[in-house]
Amino acid sequence: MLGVQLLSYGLLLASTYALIAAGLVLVFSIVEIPNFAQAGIFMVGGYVSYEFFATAHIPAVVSMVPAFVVCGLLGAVLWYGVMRPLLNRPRADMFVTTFGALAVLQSACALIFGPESKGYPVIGDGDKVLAKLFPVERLWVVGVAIVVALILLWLIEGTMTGRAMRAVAQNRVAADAMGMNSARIALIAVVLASGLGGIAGSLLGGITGVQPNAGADVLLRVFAIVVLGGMGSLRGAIIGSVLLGITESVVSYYASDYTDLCFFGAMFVVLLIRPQGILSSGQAGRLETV
Amino acid sequence: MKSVARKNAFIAVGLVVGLVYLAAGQPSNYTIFILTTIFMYACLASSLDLLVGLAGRVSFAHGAFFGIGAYTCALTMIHWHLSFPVAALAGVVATGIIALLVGVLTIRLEGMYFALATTALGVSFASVIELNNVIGITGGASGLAGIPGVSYLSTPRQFYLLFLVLLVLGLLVKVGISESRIGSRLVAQRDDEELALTLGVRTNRYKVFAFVVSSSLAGLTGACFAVFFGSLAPSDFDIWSSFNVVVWVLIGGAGTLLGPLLGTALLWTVPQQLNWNPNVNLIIYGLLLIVVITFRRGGIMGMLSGGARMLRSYRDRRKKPGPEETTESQTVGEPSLAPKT
Repeated sequence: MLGVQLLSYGLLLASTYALIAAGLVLVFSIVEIPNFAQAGIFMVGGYVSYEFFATAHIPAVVSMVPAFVVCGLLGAVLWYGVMRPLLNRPRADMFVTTFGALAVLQSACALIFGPESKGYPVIGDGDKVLAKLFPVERLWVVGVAIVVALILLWLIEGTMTGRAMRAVAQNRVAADAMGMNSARIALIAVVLASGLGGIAGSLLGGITGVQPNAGADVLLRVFAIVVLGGMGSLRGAIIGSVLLGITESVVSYYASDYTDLCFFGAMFVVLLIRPQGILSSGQAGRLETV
Repeated sequence: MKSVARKNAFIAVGLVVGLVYLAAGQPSNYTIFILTTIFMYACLASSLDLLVGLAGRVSFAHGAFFGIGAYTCALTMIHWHLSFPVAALAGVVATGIIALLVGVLTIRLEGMYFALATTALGVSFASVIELNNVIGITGGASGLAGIPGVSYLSTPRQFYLLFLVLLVLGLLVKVGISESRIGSRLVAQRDDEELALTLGVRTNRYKVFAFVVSSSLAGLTGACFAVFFGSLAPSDFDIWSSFNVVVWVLIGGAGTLLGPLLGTALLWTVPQQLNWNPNVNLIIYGLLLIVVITFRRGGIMGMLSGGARMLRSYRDRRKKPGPEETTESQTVGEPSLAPKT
């Protein structure tokens, strides 16, 4: 049935976007950086999984773990190289440097792997379909995303580290004054966010294939979602991902050339009427989950 | 003001040099082509610098405005048979109107959100061109060809002159604005918007003004680009084209007259001459951008003037072996708490 197909595709997109959006929200709420390089990290995650498959026939559900690790490390590098030095600069500066980092990552991957799309499976037998409706691999992606989202929520609400993150998000100076190490917490957040992006890239690459500009295409959409949902709001990111993921699925079926414009139109409109996002509580500076 | 005259004289000298070189230097057609393209991109960069350097707002939409001017000019020439000057004017007007719209809508956005909004615009341009509804007119992703030639713009030399004049025009506009009251107000809101507001500067209208002028110039350059290349493709105007211009401006030195010119000349020519793989090129651009923003935000011009300042202070210190008064050649910082010896 068309409806179920569109829904499953929409949920697939939503899951991927949600993973990346969560990463963006995490980083932004703590260091107020819109991390454009997240797109490049997402892409690297895909390539890691591709390599694992090409050399050892390991499907994405397994190789997403090393993708998480590699991308996390990459995130650390990015933090020390591109973000940390610019913490006290106007925010547009950081925007530009992360854009530069994205350019570097994208081109490096294009050089190493070539411009063609590389495919690999998400799970061992990629063509199974559940009850003739949901392709199993899509279910896996959605499932992983849900699990990861739950873990993330638990992390932020239920652990000391998460508490520290929320504190730094609210007021970095005060957090430092209270004895927390905001730089280290920011590092953890960036590493975590990058890892999430890596998982997303690993999984989505399994479905659509990975190519050098995979990142840039996806990133603008995720930015639209994050703007829609509010840049500090995980709840907004998740809801926004679902909304826009399903919308994209529907629009791309009926009028595919308008898909990009939908996102940017939405983003533009939100930026104009309520830049804090329409799905968030609107409180500035909070890392909010529910 | 002294500096206005000096800058205008500098531009005039540049114009003369450009003309003399063409007349007497016997450049090959290839060299002419290279220089012409440099002039074109330098004009684009200078126009962006009106926004980035003077008004302090980074925009990633410049490639899109470049494209709007180009496509408008091309389409009006093809379908409405307008002559080039009129079509170019149409391009400028179209770009200006859209820039006005976008500018007014995005006034209140703070720097980063503004950059984000312009990025959305920069990415959307190609999507708009490729919409199924308009592919018939715009040629979609495969491009728009068949732009009619212009009788007085067909040889390399004529294009050289066109873009030289365009560049000079752009620079004159830039100097005109930066040295005027509008310019000083733009600089004020760039340096400290709150303070400017308390001083009664209506920052919003100046921001829009800078955005519209900057983008219209880009549109004009785009119109000239259309006749220069004879065909257009949306990939010429994607987000990476906007990124390129930002890189040229920031690395050359935002806010200066020479900076964007230097940045463009250096960063476009070297990779082009050395025939770098475009991916390698982008990597280097990205790395340079990161390094420059992190360490030497003033770009090449910033480094040069910083170096000049250092030399001047060295020279001044050599001249005065005794106790020093605070001259302007000393670095501005906290007043020294040490007792004067």
